[in-house]
Amino acid sequence: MFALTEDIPIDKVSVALVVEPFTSAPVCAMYFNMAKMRGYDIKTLIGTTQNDILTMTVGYIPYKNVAPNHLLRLACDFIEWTVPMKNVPRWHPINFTGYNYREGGIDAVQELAFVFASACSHIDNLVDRGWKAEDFVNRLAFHLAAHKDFFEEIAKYRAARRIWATLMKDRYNIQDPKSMEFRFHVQTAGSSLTAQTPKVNIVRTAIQALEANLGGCQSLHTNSYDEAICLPSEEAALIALRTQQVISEETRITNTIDPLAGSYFIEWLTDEVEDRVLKYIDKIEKVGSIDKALSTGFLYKEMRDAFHKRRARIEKGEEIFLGVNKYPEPYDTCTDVFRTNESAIEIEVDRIKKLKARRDNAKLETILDKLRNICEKEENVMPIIMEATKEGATVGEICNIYREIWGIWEPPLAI
Amino acid sequence: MSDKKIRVLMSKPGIDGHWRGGIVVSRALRDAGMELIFGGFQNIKEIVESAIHEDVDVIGLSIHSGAHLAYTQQVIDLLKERGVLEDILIIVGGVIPAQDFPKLKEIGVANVYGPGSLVSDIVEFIKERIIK
Repeated sequence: MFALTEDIPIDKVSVALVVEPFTSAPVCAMYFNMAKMRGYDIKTLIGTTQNDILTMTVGYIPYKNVAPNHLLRLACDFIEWTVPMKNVPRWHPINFTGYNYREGGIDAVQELAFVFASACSHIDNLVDRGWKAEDFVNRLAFHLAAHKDFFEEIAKYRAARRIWATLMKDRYNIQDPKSMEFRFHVQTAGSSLTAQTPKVNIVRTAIQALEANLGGCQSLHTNSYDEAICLPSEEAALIALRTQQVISEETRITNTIDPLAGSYFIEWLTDEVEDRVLKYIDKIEKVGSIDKALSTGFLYKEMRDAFHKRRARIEKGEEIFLGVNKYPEPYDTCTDVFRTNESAIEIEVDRIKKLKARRDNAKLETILDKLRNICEKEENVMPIIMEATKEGATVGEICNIYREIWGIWEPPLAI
Repeated sequence: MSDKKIRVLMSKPGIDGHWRGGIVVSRALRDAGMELIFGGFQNIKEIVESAIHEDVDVIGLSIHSGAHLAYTQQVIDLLKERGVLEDILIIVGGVIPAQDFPKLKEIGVANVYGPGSLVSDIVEFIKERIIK
């Protein structure tokens, strides 16, 4: 953590820690311990932890995971410890990352429905623990996609704001308008980019960035044009950054809030998206809370059907990719490919070996035993994980305790 | 020609969680009448052992981590050591720069499928190469 944040003024910069419920507690605990050791008051820190249960189940598949009910508990433990318990009150302890599952093939309606059904399950869990929704809902964050259908995406952001405000007001009796605000980050669609004529990706990304701006996003990630080829090179990442700066700093688009409001098409589309999302949320909630929707395989099947449908559309040429299924071009071989440092593995293994030799292993074992106990009860795991990581526990050691107590879960992949 | 089905092991070497490509291709191969063994996350030894135990005709390696050259080389080396390299067709797919396609073919990969590949092409290629 010290090396990772070297020269970064972490009291001024909002840091995004992209870790999911399985690893968010130990990784974030390491971050908070580092901040404390550097002399910062963690109550003042700003940042976001992804901590999204759907990302690590239907989005990606992590290595030797535990079952969804335990993941939901871990996600809620982290939210509870940071915000309502006021240990890191300005932190965004969860970021419902519709982007990640949208990339897997679901449509705009499903993206919002997955996000809201999941958010409600987390709020319900914390309310069951005795907290009031207004104690924490204003710290929940969202991360949506900017995909290929220009107007539909803009309508999606508008519908999302309405749905969230209504949910907060009607379902959770929120009074404070600030807590009804749907604040969201947008990422342009990686799965819309091609390995053929990759510079065309700059144009695609710019158009998607425009959607996000017209739709009123709070922050934006523009993808690099080499997305379909490799991890971003420095040049590609810089062009991506400049692309969004052209929009936000040169065009004055951001001077107007909701500039497309009143357009007959946008208003109709917003109503339509809202209506369909509400119906789809009902469909998910009929199965149960988000962990049930996962463990029964329901969401996996919905994902599977969506991405096989999308694949068929692409193969039939109904969804167009220039350079791939229309005006085909060969793969580009001129792009400067970014290569990771293969010896990084050895550096990291060596570092962990040294850590294990240096720390007080007997003391750590006692702390890890306490974590075993807490996992079996309904007590928040964060305080003991703060202690364990301070004594040098690794992410792997913490996760292995989860696996030991709760068992490894085989996801119902439904191929 | 017998009515024996083509057997394919689909595997993800390493712990990178980008599974979608592997699942999409697996489904398409199954729909095309092949028998699919979905290995999921496997280390090199597990890939080779399950390929031998399951008597597969094809190993599909799905790689999105950038480590395609190293992983594929390790799989091929171990297959060779176990004396089964000649019996198994190896195909690789994922986010792989076109610059690396020739390198992968040089070390013994039958074909490489980058982003935007049609799964129907993969099915056709396997059916052409594995005559049962």
